[in-house]
Amino acid sequence: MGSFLIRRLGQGIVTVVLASVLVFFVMRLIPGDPALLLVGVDASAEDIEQVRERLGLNEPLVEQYVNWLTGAVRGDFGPSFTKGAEVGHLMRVAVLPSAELAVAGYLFALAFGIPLGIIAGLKPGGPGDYAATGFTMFTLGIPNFVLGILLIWVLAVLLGWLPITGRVGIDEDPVEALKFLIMPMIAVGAGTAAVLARFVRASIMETLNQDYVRTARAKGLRERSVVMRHAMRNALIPVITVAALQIGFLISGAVIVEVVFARPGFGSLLIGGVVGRDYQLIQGMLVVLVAVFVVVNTLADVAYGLADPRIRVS
Amino acid sequence: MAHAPERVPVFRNESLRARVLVLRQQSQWFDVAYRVARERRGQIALVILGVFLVCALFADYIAPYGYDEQLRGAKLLSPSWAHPFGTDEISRDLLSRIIFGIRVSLFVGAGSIAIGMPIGVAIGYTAGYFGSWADAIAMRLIDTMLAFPGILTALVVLAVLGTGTREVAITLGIGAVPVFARLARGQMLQEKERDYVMAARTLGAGPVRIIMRQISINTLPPLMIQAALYMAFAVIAEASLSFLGLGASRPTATIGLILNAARPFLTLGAWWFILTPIAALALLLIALNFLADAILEATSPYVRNK
Repeated sequence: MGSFLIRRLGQGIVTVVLASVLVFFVMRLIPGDPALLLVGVDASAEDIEQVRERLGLNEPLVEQYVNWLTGAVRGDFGPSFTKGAEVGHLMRVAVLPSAELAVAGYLFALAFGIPLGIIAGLKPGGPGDYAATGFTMFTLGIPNFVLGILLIWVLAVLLGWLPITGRVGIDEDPVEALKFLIMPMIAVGAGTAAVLARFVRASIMETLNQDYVRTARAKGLRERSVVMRHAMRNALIPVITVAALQIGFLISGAVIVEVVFARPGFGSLLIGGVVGRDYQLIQGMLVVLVAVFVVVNTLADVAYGLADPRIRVS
Repeated sequence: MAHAPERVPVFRNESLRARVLVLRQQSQWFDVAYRVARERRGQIALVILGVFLVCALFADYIAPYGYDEQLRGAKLLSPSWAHPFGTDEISRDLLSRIIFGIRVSLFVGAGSIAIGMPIGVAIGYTAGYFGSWADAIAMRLIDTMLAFPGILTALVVLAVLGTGTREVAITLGIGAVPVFARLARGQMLQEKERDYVMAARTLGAGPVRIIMRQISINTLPPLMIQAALYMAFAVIAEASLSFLGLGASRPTATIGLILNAARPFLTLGAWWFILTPIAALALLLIALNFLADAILEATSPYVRNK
């Protein structure tokens, strides 16, 4: 298990470093002088030169990259060119609302998708199966931000049950915070829930056809015990990987959903960076997001290895 | 299936059925299309996509009004015979705008495939067929690109290229490269060990001929399925990006821009403003997913010869 862990960790670090190289050098293709963005168009040539010197823009690109990466490891991502603040500071402010939404959306996806898949898989062709199929079709046709708009229309405008947009911090007023969180949470999690439901359904159906399930039935175990103790455990192991891979898509989807619900967070910050072509901001945020994605996937592999000893060996 | 069959001349007086049979034998493309058209999901997909495609190609003739034509005294009208989908906040016909919007969706979807699929497949085939260092380099690059999930790749590239419909199509085309490369490589690794490849090699065929004439035919179905699914992703991404203001700019009609304009009017009860673009988008996405399902059904060996 130790060497497996180290190998996966090494691969993860390589991926993050390569991603940082890719982002850093692609971002330098953005036309225009970032120093000009900082000081404004009517600054003198000396001012601009001074800012360029301070930002290290006059050094060779490779050196700039190394400086940026060593800073980034310590949490210093340099100044944003358009927001008038450090990128690290901007991200620390934005991380709580975004993390709150991503975690809530993910929990919703797990709590809704997996039971739905189990019900559908245990009785193919039954009402649960139809519900799962219908739900999948719905999420295929309605992407997350569109679902967000529909939820606002139905739950907030027509029924008036929930506030339309905005956010209240969980530390300020938990009940209010939850009200603001429900719709974005569903919008972010629905797609993942559908993927999980479909996968769990297939996995359960496959497991129920295995020989050991027939053996368990043949020796007279109650159906409940066959399903819960023999089939379910094995059926849910491969779900770990699928569930983890979905996190990346969930996070990238949350970027848009945040904007739909006018929630502060990574989404509006990143979109603002793209519109303003603020490469310092974009590269910092993307490296952090890729790192999160890679860490989650590595953890999922480890969890999979713990759950299924066969994986560790190969 | 492995070998290109001999070309049988199609005679004029042969029955339609016989001609179809000959075409199916001669072209895998035609064969897959024929099988897809016999699946129920395939039929639904082909009808919807056909209608949308005709609307997109002939939007100028089919749409009752221009995409930016402001009509006198027609602000926020609910659906009627004159305006089946109603009108928007600055008196434009929504049906016309949605028709032009679907044109943008299809353009970006097809454009991103046209850019990303050939490049991705070429990289994947080369890496898979030759292996060794070419494979190692290609795979590292692909893994790195795939570390940016979903729409994040698009945001990086758009920051460089700037906003606009063409830029979005190029961006999503770049995003398609690693997806197709990884799939094509996997297919290649599987197929190159098969006997028919060995047979072709024994007969003196070079790598280019083997890849282009033998292996490519056998790896076609999964690539076609991926193309349909990626096109659905590209349509969603285009709608998202133009909704965020990173795609086409006003007054162009795209599904994302219409939804963006409609959002503030939800509270005013303008339900048609929001539901009609969503319905059009949903139909397109369902059709693309059905197409992918139908290709899978039509080409998977278990159900093939029914």
